Amino acid sequence: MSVPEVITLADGAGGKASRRLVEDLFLEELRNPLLEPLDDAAIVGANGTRIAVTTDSYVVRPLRFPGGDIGQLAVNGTINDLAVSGAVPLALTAGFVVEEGFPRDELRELVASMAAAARAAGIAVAAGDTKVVERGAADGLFVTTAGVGLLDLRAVLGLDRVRAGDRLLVSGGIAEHGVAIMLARGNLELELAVASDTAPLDGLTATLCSLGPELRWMRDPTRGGLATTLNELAAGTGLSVVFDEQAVPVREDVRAACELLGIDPLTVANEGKLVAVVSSQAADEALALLRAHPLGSAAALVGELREDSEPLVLARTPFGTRLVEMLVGDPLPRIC
Amino acid sequence: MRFVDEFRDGRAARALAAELRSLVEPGERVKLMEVCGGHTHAIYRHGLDALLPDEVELVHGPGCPVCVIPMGRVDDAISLAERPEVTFASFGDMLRVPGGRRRSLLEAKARGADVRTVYSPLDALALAQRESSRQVVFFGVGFETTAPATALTLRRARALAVSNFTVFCNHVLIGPALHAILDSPDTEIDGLVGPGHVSTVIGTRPYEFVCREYGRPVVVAGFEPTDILRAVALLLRQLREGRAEVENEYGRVVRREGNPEALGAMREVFDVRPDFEWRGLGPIPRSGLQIAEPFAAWDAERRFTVPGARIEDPKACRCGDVLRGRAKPYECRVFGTACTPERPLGTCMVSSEGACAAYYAYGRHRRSAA
Amino acid sequence: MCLGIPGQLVERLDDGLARVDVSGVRRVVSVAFTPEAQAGDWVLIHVGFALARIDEEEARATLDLLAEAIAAELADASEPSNRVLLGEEEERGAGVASLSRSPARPGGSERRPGA
Repeated sequence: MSVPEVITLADGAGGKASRRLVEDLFLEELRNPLLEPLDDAAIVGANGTRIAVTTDSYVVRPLRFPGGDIGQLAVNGTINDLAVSGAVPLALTAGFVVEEGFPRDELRELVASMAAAARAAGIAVAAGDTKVVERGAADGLFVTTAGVGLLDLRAVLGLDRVRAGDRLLVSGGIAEHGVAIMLARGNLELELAVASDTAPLDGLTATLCSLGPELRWMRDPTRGGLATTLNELAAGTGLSVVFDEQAVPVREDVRAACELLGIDPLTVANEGKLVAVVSSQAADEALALLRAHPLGSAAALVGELREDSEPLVLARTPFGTRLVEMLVGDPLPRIC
Repeated sequence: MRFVDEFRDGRAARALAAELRSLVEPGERVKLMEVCGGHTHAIYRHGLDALLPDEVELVHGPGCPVCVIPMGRVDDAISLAERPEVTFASFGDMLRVPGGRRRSLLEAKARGADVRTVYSPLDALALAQRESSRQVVFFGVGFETTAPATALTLRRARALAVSNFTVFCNHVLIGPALHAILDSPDTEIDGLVGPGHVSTVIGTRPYEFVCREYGRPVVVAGFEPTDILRAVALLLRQLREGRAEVENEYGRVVRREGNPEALGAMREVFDVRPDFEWRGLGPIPRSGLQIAEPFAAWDAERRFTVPGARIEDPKACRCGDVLRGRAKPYECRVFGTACTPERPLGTCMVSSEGACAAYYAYGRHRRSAA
Repeated sequence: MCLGIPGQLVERLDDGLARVDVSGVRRVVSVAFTPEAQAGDWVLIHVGFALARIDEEEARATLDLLAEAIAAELADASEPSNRVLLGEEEERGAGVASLSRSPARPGGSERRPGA
């Protein structure tokens, strides 16, 4: 099957095309044991300790949006990659690629916002780099981060830990970040007070780590939404993921905005939510732990993993079940 | 959500499913065409196909105005978008549709074209007013549901004398498409689930020819699960009783005479093209709209030159047969191989409502559950 | 062409426009095709236009038919009443279900966190 000869936006949207780019190009070229799991963070062993390492790039447009900005996104997103890997974040680095002509005080504000987010999360931006590129080459500002964390020894996480019968939790209302961004881009003219849910999840993940080996796996469903994350779970475990569509928390007005635009909330990005797989014995306790935390007050048990002839993601509706596929490209508003 | 959730009641759906089972004989084969892509989408989104008895087969019809735009016209759109002075405004649906050589508006955007997604043609017009140095071109696609919106926008553009706004008009009409499908001698369709939102504009009278000339029943249906199931039940009932009538399941928004203001706007702003090519179906006479003379100054095809190439559907493509209910998606040689949702060859795979795209996702599930 | 969503008209504005509300999301739409629609009315919204007013009587009637289909199915699983679906006038009247009745949904209320 042929692929386009240039990289397109679909390749970065977090869904099928992105997955193919990572597997066929990056993994193909870089292949090594640390990279192969393609998890949110790599676990590196050194002198008996286990360190989680992650990197991420932030190219969001617009740079500011209701609920946050690129600085907050960068800090929280990196913390979250560490957190869902079962690590306590230690430090971040940040690289900035700035377009010539970018206003200096706007840059200061975004970096200050980054600093505030880091302080709030109890973590330091320990190192950085800056490059300036010609006008037109960077769309304002790009931020790349790296994060380092210390593995929580209570946690034994991995796709290989997941078993049939394990249960699936979502920490709260989905689709808020993606909808906030779509509205902030300006052409949809919907009046809706929705803010990005960008938030550091390390407090939440630390409470779940108290479950020890009953906690199997976590991930934060960013670009590509819950649908993409669940498909990665199914593909990585060889089990089917079956969940109740109506059990997945969505704010009523966010759901209405998605209906108006013809977008499936399951495919919309989140920046302050997590998905967790726990043993069935620990399911109720896991839910209670999440709900006791301010960021998990709307958490829900939504489904389970099961053996199947083929690993699929299936949503139970009031009428039957439907297949939930990974996104192809970004969710686009439709009229049809 | 009001007027939505009440019509998504699971118990009602199961009760209707039981009704459906009582309305077919075991081993009977009934083929119903759901004309509108939105019905296809609703069926798969809610998993309704599982509630239908095995005897009832739903055939996905030509009511996907995105799918049926010929590749040559998509290339014309891309050529407009690639002009440096043009801001090309489009509904999201059209962005991934491939033209000739599999290029799309999304790829043109990746190569630097100024392509913007809009929810409404009015927003495209407002964009033109805000960005007076740009030539804003709006990609007008859709059936009679959407054509009035474009018509009104053109009226408004003229009234406000917005000179940097034009429309690339590709609106199509459902009636001629139904004629073309039903005229084909080997079309195997026993009844039609009529497009609910097109009918808010055109009413239910335009379907009466289906009953009179072709002897098939039509039930105009809403888009919620209970609407669709109820419409199937009403069709099966008609078939059992040997009736062929137009029934309106969607009475809460569809009236027999349609919407006179919307029809009036369309008549004022558009002329019917002598011919318009439909991807998968070929040229259908008097099936497409063009902008009428009084609004010529807002017609993108008159302001700009477009390549206007006519590109053949790929030889391997069996979309025409699929659209007429003569072939199933998996009977097409290239289904799932050279033609997939990510890299579609033909119209039926192009949008998520297309028969092949829907089957591609659904079919795997069915085979796994079997 | 298909994506039409019900919304409630909140206020009429100048220029043939109005503001509508869909479960807390608001949008300015054209009411050129529903000139008689007033604040409080429900309309079907498609690409920034109110295409039709929603007839609450008709909606209620359809829901009544669905309620009767459920009742018939429960009452006699082997012989469901087909007449219920056809909306024959004489069938309506008894046991009219209220439009504001909220049908019980699986999953209950915990999936709707507050704004």
